[in-house]
Amino acid sequence: MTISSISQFFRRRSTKTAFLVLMAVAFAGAYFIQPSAVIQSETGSHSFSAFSLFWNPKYTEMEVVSLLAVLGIAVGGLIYALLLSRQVLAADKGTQKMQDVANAVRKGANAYLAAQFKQIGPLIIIISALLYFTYSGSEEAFRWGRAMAFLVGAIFSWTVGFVGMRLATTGNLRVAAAATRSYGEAMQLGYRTGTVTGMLTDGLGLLGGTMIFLIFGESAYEALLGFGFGGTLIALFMRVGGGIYTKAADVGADLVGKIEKDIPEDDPRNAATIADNVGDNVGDCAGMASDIFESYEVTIVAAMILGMATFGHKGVIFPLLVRGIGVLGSIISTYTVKAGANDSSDTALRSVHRGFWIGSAISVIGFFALGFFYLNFDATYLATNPTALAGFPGGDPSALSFFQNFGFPGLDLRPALTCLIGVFLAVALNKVTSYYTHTGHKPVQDLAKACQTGHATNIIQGFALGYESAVAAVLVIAVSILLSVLVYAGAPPLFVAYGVAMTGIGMLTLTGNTISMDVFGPVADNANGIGEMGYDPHEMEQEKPGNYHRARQILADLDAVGNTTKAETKGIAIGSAVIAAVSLFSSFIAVIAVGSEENIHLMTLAQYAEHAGRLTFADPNVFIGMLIGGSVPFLFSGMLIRAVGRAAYFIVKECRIQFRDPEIWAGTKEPDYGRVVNICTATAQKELIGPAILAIMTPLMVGFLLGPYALGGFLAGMILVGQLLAVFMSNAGGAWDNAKKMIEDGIYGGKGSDAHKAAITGDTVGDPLKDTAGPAINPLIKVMNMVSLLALGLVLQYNVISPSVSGVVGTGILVVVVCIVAIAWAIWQSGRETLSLDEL
Amino acid sequence: MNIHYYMLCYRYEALVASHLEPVEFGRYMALGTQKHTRGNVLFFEVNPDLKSDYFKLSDIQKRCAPHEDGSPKRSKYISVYRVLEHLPLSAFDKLYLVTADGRVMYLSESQQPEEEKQHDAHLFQELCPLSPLVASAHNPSNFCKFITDPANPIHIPRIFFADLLVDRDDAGHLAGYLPYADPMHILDCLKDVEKGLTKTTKTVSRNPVLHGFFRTINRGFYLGDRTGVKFFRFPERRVLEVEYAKWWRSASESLS
Repeated sequence: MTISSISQFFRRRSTKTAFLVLMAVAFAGAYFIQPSAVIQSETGSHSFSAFSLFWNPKYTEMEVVSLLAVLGIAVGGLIYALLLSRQVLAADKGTQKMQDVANAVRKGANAYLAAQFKQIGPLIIIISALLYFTYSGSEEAFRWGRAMAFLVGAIFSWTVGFVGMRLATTGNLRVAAAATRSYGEAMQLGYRTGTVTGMLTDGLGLLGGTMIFLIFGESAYEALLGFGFGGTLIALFMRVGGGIYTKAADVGADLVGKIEKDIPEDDPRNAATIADNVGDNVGDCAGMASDIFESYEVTIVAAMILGMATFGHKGVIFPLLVRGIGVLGSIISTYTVKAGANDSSDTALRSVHRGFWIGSAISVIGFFALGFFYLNFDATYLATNPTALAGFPGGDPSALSFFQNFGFPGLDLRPALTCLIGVFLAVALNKVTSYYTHTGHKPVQDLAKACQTGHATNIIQGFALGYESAVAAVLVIAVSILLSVLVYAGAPPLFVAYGVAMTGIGMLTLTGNTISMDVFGPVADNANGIGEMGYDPHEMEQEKPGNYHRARQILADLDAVGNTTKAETKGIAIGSAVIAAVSLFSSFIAVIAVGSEENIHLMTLAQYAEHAGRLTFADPNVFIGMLIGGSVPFLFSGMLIRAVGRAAYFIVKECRIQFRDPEIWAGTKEPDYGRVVNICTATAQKELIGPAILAIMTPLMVGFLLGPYALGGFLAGMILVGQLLAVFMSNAGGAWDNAKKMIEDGIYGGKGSDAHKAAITGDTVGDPLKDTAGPAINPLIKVMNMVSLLALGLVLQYNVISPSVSGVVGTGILVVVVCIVAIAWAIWQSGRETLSLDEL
Repeated sequence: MNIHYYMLCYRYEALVASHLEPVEFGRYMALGTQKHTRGNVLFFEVNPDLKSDYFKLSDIQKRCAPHEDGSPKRSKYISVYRVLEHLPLSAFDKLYLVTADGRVMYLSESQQPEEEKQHDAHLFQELCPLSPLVASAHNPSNFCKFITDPANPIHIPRIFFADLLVDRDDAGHLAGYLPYADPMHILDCLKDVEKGLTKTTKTVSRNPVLHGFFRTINRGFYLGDRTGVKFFRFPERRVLEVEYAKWWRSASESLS
């Protein structure tokens, strides 16, 4: 069965209708049929029953209806995405020549994802089976739940990437065609193409989390972890594979085209031109959409797990409701983004930002209103959810201070306040990223100036800028966590962790807008390429004098807007990874405290405090774990950057071969674009295996060899170093790119000047940093966290240092040996030289 | 097959016979066939009825015969030194501008533009027979006469040069989009000749590397001597972007 036939199947109206009917029947059935199953046994251990919250007296009718409403909003988000995609698809497709160029890009992008699906598909099935068989608890339903949720998470994540990329490769053509008519139309189409992906992320993320909670209720922990891990792992593959693809194609195309042959970007004679355009979609659409989707999933997973462990089911339902409001905010605000027929980059950018502000305002008002109605903790609730008592001074909700309840006794607005901090965090990270990477600010202007004195000074200045920006981003995140701590001042650490998780929820409230802004970048970039290769200047001028020039200017302006919006969202992606990881870290401690994830609901705060206290650097194992954790992002980045170099070599070689054909060089024969696309696809698939092994095996190795506390140290080291390195690479790369663009726009000599050559060097160095290694650290952080959490039950039982089960050291040693062999192989693979490279 | 005469005038001076049409010849000169030689090429199409006592043209049909397989002779060099001065001015036809990746555009002779104020400083890129960058207080026509004046101790028989942009920003510096190496030095030289105290023409650079050359052309190219000047108007930016879109993109984005 081909990808297109699968896609056709899901696009059929009958399939969609059948799915919706099935869902409606399932929920109606669950709501009205009261099962006879006993919810809780005498021992207090849970006996699982699906959809139990529909008849569990702990949940009010309003809560159940609200959850169904959230489900409806999630479906609404998906319908909105569907309507927008129809709008995009119905738009004018331009001339045949333009369609030919766009088709080549689309075919290449589809071929890449199809190849990736073939490779990852079986692996996902194997991991699902592994998760099923390695489940260390006793409840069969959780065993299935974890494996199936993993599968669903992976499918959702892949769907977001796949559909996002498909739409982007369709939208780019429409944007190029619309640019011949009006700025506003082209801008709106580009942004709405991005919004489809954004709303798909919103809709599927919310649908998955809510469904899992509806099915598993208070025992959703296991399934949520599986769901998060599925999305995260696919995001890692998408990010790593996409990152290698996009930069290998870009660097390969530039090295042969611009440097060796001295031909312009997107010149149709360059065999790597189409692969370069495909790469923009693979990296920035599929990779970024999956990345944000996993952040969206992981933050909700963290908030729901911690919510249950602290405030009880209100702590779980509130983040879901907040997400629902966020989806509504995104629907309204993304629709407001418009531009006039003769607008400029500045007004278009203002409109995009205004949309973000409108969405933020709707969300903030929404979740405070929600807090006023929902976050009341009365005696009845506290009696059925006693864990919540510890979150209030003396166990009394009315004892909260004014800023925590706004003077309403019994009300607790702390979750809403931490969501607000999250919104501010998103805005602040946008601003920090913008400050360090946008041409309108001093750092990039200084970097461009440094190009006047040569290549080395540009590189030196770029490093300095990147380091400073990493510190600024870390400070912003630290301040937001500190604010969350202050909001929960006096509460136990687990409640503070819930606050941090809610900050993540607030931060990704406007995921729809964030992804719209991100995907708009490659769509506009590709549209510019289609304009370059597909416009017919003479024909356009004959139709309407000045039209060609105007359309090209519109596309160039949109490209500039897209570059800015794309850069801004990178800060959010990295920040969300850190926030999610910090929240999950508390779940990690909670599992250590109670011995297995199945008993997390039985944990006392004293247990949590005791085990959190043992995570100290005074313990050499913890310190060793931290050192290893801190080194992994460097090794991972090194592997990816090497992979880009290796893949680029093959592309350079192929392009050189094709350029030797005099007809191709003369422009009378079309190059074989497909061969370069195939090389990129095959190389990217092959090269992602090593880094993926490193991401999965290293936490297992540390956990089984040095024990759970060392694994905690490992995570701490990895989160800190990963965050700093990711921001450094993304911002330094973005700044080098924009410094080059500034010069190309006509300062310090413009194109062809010595300053321009220095800027090109900086941009080439920064390319694999900002588009491959930097963004891939986000999923790396989350994959390692999820692997650690999922394996923690087994680590506790079988680790070599202090196994909880006696006489099983051999099992731990075996796992460690397997991990070491796998990691060693991955490192060897990364450093190897292929036969072709040896020829050099 | 017809024989065409071409005079290469950048980066070296040569008279070449060829069976190739001008555009094909330009592409061939920029790219070669197997060796992929590269770089901007500027050449004139020369009147095919050229008669000359200086150049050995009598046996050109024999020397420039097609290859044995019937393929055209791409280039048969007739002379490689002091060519410019020995061709009659009337023999020069269209000027062909070829980018590094083989895009070809031609300019026909056109009427000279009205000269600006006498005291404005100009920047000229000499292209043939020598290729220094010079600042001058002379307008292009006068510069042509000045530099080919035998009364002048430093003179050449004929010159081919381009008039370059010297746009300045509000602070009086050369505009940022001009890709000249060492703009401060250019500015100093321009100021020197503007003052006109010691000399009216000053060498800015003896053998400059042409960065983004086609983006720096002001009004166009001049070919002349004491007897007359031929002017080849460079199209306006808007025309370049539409009528010569591919050539202009290649010319303006070239790194060499």
